[in-house]
Amino acid sequence: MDQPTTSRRDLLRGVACLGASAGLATLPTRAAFASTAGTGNVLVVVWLRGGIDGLSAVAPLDEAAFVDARREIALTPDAGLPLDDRFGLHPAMAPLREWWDDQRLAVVHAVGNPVPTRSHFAAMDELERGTPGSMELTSGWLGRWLESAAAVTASPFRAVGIGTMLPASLRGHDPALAMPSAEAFDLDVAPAHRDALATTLAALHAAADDPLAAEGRRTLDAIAALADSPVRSLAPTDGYPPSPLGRALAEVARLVRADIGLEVATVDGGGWDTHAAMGSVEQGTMRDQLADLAQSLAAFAVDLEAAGRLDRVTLVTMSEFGRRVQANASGGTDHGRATVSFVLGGGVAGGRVHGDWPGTDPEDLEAVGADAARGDLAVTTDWRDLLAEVLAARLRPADLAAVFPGHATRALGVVG
Amino acid sequence: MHRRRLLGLLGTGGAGIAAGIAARPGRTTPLALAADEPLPDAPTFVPPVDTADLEAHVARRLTFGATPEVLAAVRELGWEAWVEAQLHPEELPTDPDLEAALAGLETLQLTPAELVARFAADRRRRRDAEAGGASREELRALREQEVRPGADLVVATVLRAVHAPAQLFELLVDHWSNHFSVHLATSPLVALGKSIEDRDVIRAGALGTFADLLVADAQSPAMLAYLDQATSRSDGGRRPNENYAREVLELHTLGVDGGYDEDDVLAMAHVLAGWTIDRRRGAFTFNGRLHEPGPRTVAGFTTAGRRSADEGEAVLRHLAAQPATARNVVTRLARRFVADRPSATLVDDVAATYLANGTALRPTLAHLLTHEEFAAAAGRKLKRPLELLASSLRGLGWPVPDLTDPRARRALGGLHRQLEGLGQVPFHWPAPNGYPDVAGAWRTTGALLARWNLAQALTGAWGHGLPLAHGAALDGERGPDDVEAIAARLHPDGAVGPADLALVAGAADGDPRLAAALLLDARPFQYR
Repeated sequence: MDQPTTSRRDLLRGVACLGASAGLATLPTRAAFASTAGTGNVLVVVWLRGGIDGLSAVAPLDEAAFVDARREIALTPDAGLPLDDRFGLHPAMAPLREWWDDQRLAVVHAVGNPVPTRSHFAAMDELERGTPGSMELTSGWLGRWLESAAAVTASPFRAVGIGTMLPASLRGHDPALAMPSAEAFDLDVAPAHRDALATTLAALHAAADDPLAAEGRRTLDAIAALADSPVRSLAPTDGYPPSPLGRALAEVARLVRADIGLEVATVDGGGWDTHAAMGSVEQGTMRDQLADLAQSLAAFAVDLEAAGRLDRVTLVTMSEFGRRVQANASGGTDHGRATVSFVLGGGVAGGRVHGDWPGTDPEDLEAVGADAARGDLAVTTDWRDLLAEVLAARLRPADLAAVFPGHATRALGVVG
Repeated sequence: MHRRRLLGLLGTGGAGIAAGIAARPGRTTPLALAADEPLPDAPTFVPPVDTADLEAHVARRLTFGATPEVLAAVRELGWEAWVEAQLHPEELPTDPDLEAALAGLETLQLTPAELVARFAADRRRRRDAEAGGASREELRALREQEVRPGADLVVATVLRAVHAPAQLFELLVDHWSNHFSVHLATSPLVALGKSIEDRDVIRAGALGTFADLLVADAQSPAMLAYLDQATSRSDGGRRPNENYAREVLELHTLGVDGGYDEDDVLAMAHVLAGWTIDRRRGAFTFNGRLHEPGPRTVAGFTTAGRRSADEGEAVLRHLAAQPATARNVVTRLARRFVADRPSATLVDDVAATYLANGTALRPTLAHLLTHEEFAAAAGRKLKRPLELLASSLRGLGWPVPDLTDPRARRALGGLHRQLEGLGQVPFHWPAPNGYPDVAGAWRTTGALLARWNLAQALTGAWGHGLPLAHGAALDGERGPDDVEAIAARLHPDGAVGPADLALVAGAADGDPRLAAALLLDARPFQYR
């Protein structure tokens, strides 16, 4: 693999990297969790893996060719819940209406990777590294943000990925915690034995020359810190769908409510790679997916609002690409280009569909190879602009040049 | 919901994160990660093993876990002769207990047609029972019956990993299962198709030619269903879906930078339209009515355009023989057997062998495993959860279970839940690119915690764990040399040094199960 260029390497070395990268030598006190040096705001990134069909979630109301191209899977103008005079929302996403009406939910449409790739894996790699078209940098955009803002915080819970694997966006010198659930995040032994086991494990992971040992020490610190925190005394709130996405967002909300210094959380949702059998607006796979997404996001908003925290939390959905305008013969859609993003919570200019809508008429579509009958919704908003705006507005002012190197970000007015 | 639990769909740690590529909605699964390169300024890694001991390296790397017996065999035969013998698994003795247990997994013995008929009958019975208001117990039993092919396959896979004498072959089966990854939980059709595929495609072709393996996989009902090829059609101007066509080019053969574009993807989709499943026979069929004939060009190869499955097969064989495919296939093999980031030299050397031998896998592997970079790679691969579980059970001397014993079945259920928490239930990666095979993907706080809890569960330290039988490792009287004896079984390569042994002995304080758990937690055991 190519190494980063000299200028990028210097850039990364140039940012201070204190505290967390050396490992926590002592456990932070409870008071240290509520880091007063941070903004107290939280960014939640929800990755919708597989490529969400943005045109099924939010569809144009006045483009006939689009309906023809999609036939029975189309979100038709009469079926959609009007968001404004241009777009309709899939009826299964009705739970989000109140947040839309309350101007706390925004839609960004036709957002995507400026460099065309219809490979799940290449698109995710590039977007998570924050370097469209390039795989040179080995860190993720969130990882670089954490490094650039490392100097002012001490909480081991700054960055948490829900699950046992972490998204590549979080790769960096200040590793995040991977935690499937706060409840289960403990050594599975009777309390009487826990400390002794932890002490032995720490001794077995004392080596300085093995990233496994370093991760082991971090794990023990995290277990202890979680036990010492108020998280488990807060029950997860009811009202979330019993789906992986619902459960994950419930966990995030709980971490927020516990005031333990969370700044970034990542959540992953699946099932979006709908090549076949999407169903109709009334029933089927796509409807079920969108219903789960909407119910999970709405439950998250309700939960945080009740706790007086929604103004502190900004949630952004991401996906590697959208899907083809034309339906295929399997009743589904193939990999496309631009997709939709939902932005919810604090600082959001809600109740609006942001972005420069390129249109779904055949002449407005991005070509897919030489076949003129295939076309994708064109990308008019670069993911980096949306993410940079959220970072800059909601978290500590960061060195955005380090987070998204080589990119001059453009203000969108989605989050302020 | 019950069926989901049985197939382990709760994913990692219960709360679950999901990557839904080519999967049906609602599945909970871990996500795909980028390749693992070291970050700038990362500390240099020193493997916690004796890197000069080549025989120990072979015993660790080319099995699901080194045992004293395997290491002794490698030392006695010499590592090259041992590898050569393992490359001819058909000539190795079988384990009679293992074979007896596998014979007891009824769905593994059925033909595809029998599996399809059985499933249709089971489903009818279950639906009738649901409509007729059967009891919860009855319904639970019927649902278990319906998902039995997938469940049996996972059990067989774990049993083979632990007990099969042809260890390298089992690693290869695992490798190809990930190269051609299929998500068992996609649908019941995919699950029973995967059972057939494991036997008739993967196990049958693991040491044949890649070309044959690729074609057999492309015609496997599991793959046809999983990546939506079975419902694709191009007759009368219809648009074939691009799912399998794209992934066969991107993942299975050329690789994402291997020299194909969107026109090639569409052309491949057209070539393969009509490749579908004969549901009565549970087998591949070419339905010409779904296929619009006409010449198509895929990656420089133009078909004659006849309405025949021969056209698709010809394209696949062409792809298998491309240099880009050679590099892709060899890179994945090298990532599995050598290091997370195999060198370009290694890949080029072995890719040449692959091409020179008409994509034959045995000589390709032989070259890979005798390459100097393999020898230099001791201790440089982190065990993935399946490897960790299997090596733990091998070290602990877990005997082949009696699958008619309810206690043994409960233990197997417990092992399944452990694999869910660790994030690697066989055949449950939701994306077609297979489980990640780089250390960074598996080295997180949540993942390490799950490993330590696995050690507790398997050893039953402090009286709390799975009802597993153990072998000699945990028998014997208490005494100061207990720990040494247990360490000799779990670390036959002697990788745990005297300081850590003393540490473990002190902490275990005479409890052999706790000593075993700590020795499983020790860093050398996490590497292969």
